Amino acid sequence: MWRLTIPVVNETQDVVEVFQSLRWERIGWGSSTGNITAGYGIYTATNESQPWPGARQSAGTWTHNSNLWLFGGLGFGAAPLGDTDFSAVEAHFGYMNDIWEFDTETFEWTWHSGSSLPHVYGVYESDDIDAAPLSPGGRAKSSVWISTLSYELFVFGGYGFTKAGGAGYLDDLWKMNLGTLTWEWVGGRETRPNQAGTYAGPAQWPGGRAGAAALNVPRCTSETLLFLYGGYGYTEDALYQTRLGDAWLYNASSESWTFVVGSAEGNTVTSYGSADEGPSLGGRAFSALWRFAPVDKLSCFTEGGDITTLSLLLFGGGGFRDGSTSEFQNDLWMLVVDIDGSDVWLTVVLATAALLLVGAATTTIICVCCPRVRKKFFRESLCCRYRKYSRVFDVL
Amino acid sequence: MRQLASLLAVVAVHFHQVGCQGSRLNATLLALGTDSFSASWPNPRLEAATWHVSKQQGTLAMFGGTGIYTDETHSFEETLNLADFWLFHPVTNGTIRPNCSDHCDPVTVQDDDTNSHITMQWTLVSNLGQDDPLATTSSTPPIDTDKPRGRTGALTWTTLRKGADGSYSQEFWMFGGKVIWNTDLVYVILSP
Repeated sequence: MWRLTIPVVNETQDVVEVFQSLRWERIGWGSSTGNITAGYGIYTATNESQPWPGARQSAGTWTHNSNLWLFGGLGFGAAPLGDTDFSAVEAHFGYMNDIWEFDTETFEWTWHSGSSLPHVYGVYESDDIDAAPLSPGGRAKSSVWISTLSYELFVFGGYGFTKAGGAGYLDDLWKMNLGTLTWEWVGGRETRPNQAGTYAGPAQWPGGRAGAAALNVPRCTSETLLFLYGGYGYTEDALYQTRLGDAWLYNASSESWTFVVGSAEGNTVTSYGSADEGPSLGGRAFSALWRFAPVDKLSCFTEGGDITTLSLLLFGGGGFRDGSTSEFQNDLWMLVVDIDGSDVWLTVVLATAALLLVGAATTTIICVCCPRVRKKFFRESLCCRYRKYSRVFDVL
Repeated sequence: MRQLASLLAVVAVHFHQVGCQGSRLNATLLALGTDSFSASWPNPRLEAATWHVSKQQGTLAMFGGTGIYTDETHSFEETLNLADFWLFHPVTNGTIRPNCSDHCDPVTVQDDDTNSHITMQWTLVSNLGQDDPLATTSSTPPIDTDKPRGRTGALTWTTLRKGADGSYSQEFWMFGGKVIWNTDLVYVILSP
């Protein structure tokens, strides 16, 4: 584990100078030799007594209560004591579905749930209270969002396992309560991976994919919106995997995906424009994606603080540009997502109706922080102040 | 061959809106980049580790990833797991580095919130990474290095910490990822 501590930089300081004065720290237990299996308190490959996750890449990550959390990834599960030769260790390599927490004060890992072995299948539904709890199968390169509004983690797709068969590109969506760490299967195909997407009609759903660029959309209203672009997987047919060029929004309130824009065909070429037409981003996977909006501005406390557009920067990733055979790119794009206002107005209507029924003091109503409502009725309410702080956490 | 400056372009394009329910996405090409190694623009890559820099408008940080290294004469091309650390940050007349002249590669970004433009550029931070991506392919990387080795698909987090004096600091965390251990491309996943 590596840590870089950055002092708060004020507006008059040169951020580059600040970073040039910093040094990485190695934190806690970690191996320098590579291919380290995990310690789950059951098996251990070394004499270390404390639990630790095996070496891995491309896991889902989030922060909660100032601690660091991870889900799954491609790496090493637990190995029986004494398995130190590479071939034995390698047998424990694969797609994981475990959840770990790293305490940033004590530098200790805690294994919360999931399998200590790779390549486990998912458990999608059960009416039997004695059956295993629901859980996604082992996977890596999933799209992961966290919503501090709903106190949930969302995991979409990735490369791994459904409830049967071999590994492939997944299109299932899961959410996990951050307090109880219980999973709920929201939708998507549970029987097999490598399925096509649905780009039109009432049941729109992205095809199976891994390595999509994804971020949550911070809002002041109660709905959670998730943005996703591209990835490597399937378009509207399931013939072969491609670099995808489609943009999607997921509304957690209505549990629905919306195909926003882009191509329903795969491997669309990135074009930088010509005399006849402008540039187009095209299919792209494993890109870097950041929010461009500064944290300070995403405040529901100020009038009009709720965002109606989301500005993102997308850098590089895998795709093909005109006249080039290289998959690797380092172009820079700004993506501006205009958020549909219909959900906001729906919230306003429902809140107003509820207000008439149960009175103005109801906390639930006050917590509707739509700026158009707050402007008239709930300016600077306690709830909006809470939302302000949760928004800062959310953006980080 | 450093042709980045001539390749940079600021043009706008709007996707044709298909199948949406009121939401739209505009993709604006800010810069083409370059396939040559440059100290002022990251080379092409996948699965880099990324962070936001809190309280700094639009400032981003990036480490490593799987990249393409090509020398200036394009005499060879190699796929590497990179160990370079980059900042993408705003610059003003007062903060442009003194030695930054023709190859600063600034990018103008529209800030919709303020309806203004922000000039930004990439800066390679050598004390937090390797300037030379080939350095990361050593067959015997040092055990107790003071910098992370080149890697791809690393896990990242960002936290805020309040110090005893009441001041806040931001922490970037990085765990795991995959390195190319030897030049024969044996893949090894590292824990530290």
